[in-house]
Amino acid sequence: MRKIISMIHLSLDGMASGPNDELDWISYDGDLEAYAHSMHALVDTVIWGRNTYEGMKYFLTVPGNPDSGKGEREHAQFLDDSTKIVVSRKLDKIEWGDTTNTVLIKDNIAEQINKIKQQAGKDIWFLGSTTLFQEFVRLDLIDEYRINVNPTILGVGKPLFANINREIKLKLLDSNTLKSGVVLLRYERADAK
Amino acid sequence: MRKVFVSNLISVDNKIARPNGDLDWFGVDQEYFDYTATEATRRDLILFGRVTYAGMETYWTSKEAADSDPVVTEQMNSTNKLVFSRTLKSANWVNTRLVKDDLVGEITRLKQQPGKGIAIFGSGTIVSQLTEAGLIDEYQIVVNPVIIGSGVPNFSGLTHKVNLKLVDAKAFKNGVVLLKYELPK
Repeated sequence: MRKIISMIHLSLDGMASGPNDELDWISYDGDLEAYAHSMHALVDTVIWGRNTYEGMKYFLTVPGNPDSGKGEREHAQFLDDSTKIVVSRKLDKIEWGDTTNTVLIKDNIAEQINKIKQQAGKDIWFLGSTTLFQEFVRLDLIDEYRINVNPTILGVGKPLFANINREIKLKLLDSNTLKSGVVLLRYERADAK
Repeated sequence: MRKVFVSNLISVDNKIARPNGDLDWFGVDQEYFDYTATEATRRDLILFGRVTYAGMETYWTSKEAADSDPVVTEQMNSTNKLVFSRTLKSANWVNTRLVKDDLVGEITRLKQQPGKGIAIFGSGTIVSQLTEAGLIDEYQIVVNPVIIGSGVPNFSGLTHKVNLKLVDAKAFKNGVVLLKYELPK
């Protein structure tokens, strides 16, 4: 069965972003970009919430922009090729290319996601907001957590793991350290086959 | 100058305890005991907040502790301890001194005295206060492989950002990860 993999950049105090969604504290460098982009080979589908989807539309402009970097172009191509699942109660349609490889999920999230997991294909990259992440954790839909711990205590911000109210035992798959001091932790469910 | 260390056990979701203070989710094994034994040689003073102090006093003065872990029990009792609390009337555990106010001033003075390190044990508010004051030299974060879902967050109440330097990261066989950071010079 396909796995849902969530990759998260986290502060040392468990924040996913600053109070106004700031991400400038993430020690993002060539090493971390290479690690993030290593996901391209593993997955053929992404899951977004509405806000992430709106933000990701930026990548539609990347191919036609002479200033776009190599990493951006790779990611734009990857997104074009991938199936894009958007979870949103508000949206009525997804506008991305010819929309043949888009899926809009408005309700019955667990049921619909589990159906997609049983379809043939590569793994699935969860790239949602903290709110959608929390919903996915509550529904226990995430099979692999990739948590990139930054060497920064943010102090004020949006905690990633709030409103979970359930326990999930995990198994450490591996841990690696980047030169920047970011620690890459990878977990799956303790009871995973 | 003496160094101040903090060693916090956290879950993957950044909690230091369940809402009722329980630490039953934390998986300790021989590697963890070896790590704590080494740490014990680096300090000659332990600082607690009131809640952690109460739990530690109860446990390390019990027959259960003396029977199952005599070496650490002897260490915990003989080491000098400081409990910081505005509400406690007295601290009765052997070798313990009660500090009722001006934690920052107290730790600043203690750091200038000769001696080994000062270790802080699992006291969220104390860690946050001393972090704000820039008095903690080393942070050890021991990440247990579980999402507990609700509980007491690590580093709550801080008002500004602190950049640290990773000095070590080590995975134990049971999936616990030890992260060590220093305050950059």
